[in-house]
Amino acid sequence: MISNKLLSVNSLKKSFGGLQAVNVDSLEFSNNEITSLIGPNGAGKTTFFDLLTKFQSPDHGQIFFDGKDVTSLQSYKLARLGMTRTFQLTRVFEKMSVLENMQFSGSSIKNESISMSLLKSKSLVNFEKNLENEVDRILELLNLTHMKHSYARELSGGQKKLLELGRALIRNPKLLLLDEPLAGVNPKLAEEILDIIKKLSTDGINIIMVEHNINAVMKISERVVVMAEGKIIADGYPEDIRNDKNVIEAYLGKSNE
Amino acid sequence: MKDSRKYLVAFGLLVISFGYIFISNETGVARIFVNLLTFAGIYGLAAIGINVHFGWTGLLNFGHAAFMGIGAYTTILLIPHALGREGVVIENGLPLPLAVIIGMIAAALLGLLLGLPTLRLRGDYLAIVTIAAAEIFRLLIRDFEDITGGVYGVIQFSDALQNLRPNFITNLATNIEVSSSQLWVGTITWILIVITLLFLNRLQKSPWGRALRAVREDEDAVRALGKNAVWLKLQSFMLGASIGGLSGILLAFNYGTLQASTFVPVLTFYLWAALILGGVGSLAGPALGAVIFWVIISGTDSLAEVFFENANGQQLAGVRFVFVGLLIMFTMIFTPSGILGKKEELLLDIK
Repeated sequence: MISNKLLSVNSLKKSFGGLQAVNVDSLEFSNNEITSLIGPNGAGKTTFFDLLTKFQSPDHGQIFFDGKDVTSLQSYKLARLGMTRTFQLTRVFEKMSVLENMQFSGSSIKNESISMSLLKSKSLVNFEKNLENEVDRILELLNLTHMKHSYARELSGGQKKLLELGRALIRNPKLLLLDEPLAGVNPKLAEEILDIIKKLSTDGINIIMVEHNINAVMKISERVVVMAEGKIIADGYPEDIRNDKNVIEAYLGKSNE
Repeated sequence: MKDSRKYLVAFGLLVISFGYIFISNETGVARIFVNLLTFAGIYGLAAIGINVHFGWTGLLNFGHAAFMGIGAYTTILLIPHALGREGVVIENGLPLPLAVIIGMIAAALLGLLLGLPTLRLRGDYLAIVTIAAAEIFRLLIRDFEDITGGVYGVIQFSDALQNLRPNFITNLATNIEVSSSQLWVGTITWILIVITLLFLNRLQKSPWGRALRAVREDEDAVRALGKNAVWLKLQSFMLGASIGGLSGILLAFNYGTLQASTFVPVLTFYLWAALILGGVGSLAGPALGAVIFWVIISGTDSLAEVFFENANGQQLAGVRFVFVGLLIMFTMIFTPSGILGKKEELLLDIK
């Protein structure tokens, strides 16, 4: 069964030893949505992300992206289809400049071949020139223009999150998976990042994010999916989730009546 | 350190080392210099290969001697040579340039062979596999006597290169009283270094070079951005291996004979010493490091005699490496990124 949804999973399972980290029967993500994935620590959110992006292989189940069965695809091939992720612990290329971080992400696979790089054809030079303009545009959007030529490791924690976001954006993804985009970011910058995420969604990029900041989640999500112990325990509009008995139990524990 | 200051330090070191050799040898200074610079050039070229692996891509290759060896054996066995205990003469062979290209391709293919199973794993595994593979390679060469000449090695192959020697090199060698064949090998070596560096400079600044640096920094992020990290690593591994193969061929011509014992593991570690001294990741660093390494190797005998009056040759040889060790220690303490390395891109995480 191939779904016409952007991304869907079918009885997806992953366990580590005796621990069932992820056990999701069926979940679909449609177009033009910001979906948040929340849940207590150890709920399997990041593992679920890893499975979706093929950074880990599922023990069982299928993943469909954009109408294709991508279950057996390698992660970089999946990324080429338009699914780009960020990481919980920011992974920028520390010893490369901000510009190079962006350029690498946006450069074409063809230009990156050793022969094309040696030939340095006119089309390559032009592509790189246009790429830098595109980088400038995105850095402007992210307020990072002044850091363009700095090494990425000189950025603050929040700026690194921004750079990682920018690096994903320059690839024009269909689907952006953000793993805790607000973790360790000061409140003011968090606001900025939320605004950017909202703007990206209006521009037609689909977003799934894992986030612990519940206020932020409730504010910008159109849909919230709650995980606990590897399973989906609730799925719906933010306001419904807020009052869901299962969710409250998962976060606070069962009440003893 | 600023770039200009770095080059000043490098230049100063060279002047001091050469000056030292000049004053510590009363006779045959020219001969010593030609010998030193030829070996340094060959080691430098080999270290440039390791630099592509480690400095550019972050791959720990501890088996470079095998790449040098397979390049040397492939090329030399393809040109006219004599082989083994009886010195069986094989008169027919390919033209030298073709044989060199095949030798470099063989080294790249060995890189592919070692890389395919190991480059999917994390760095340390590659280090273990390469060091083991290099020893396996050397022992196979030694035992397959029919093909490789075994412990007796390969001889009488130098003509293929020396026949190409222009007259002015021969005349120059006679005038300054050095070996004309070594002067020719040394000249070719440094020409090849310049060509290789020009070639690598173009690559380092290209999207390919940028992609390798990204792989060096974080493979997972590279994969998340839709790039095939394993293939990039394989390409880098093959390129560095073929540069190693080229240097191995030059080493064979410099010795004039080819023996398995040349490609012992310690050769690889000399190359690493040169790379660390010169500066990991910098373009010309490995060549500079190799020169300084060879100055110490060939220049410390007389210095050691001052400290250890009654030492014999073997003991003095040991003292050389005490000096190499000291120099590496001082380099690590005062300029951990090597003489020409960029501090911002320091790879050996020593604070």
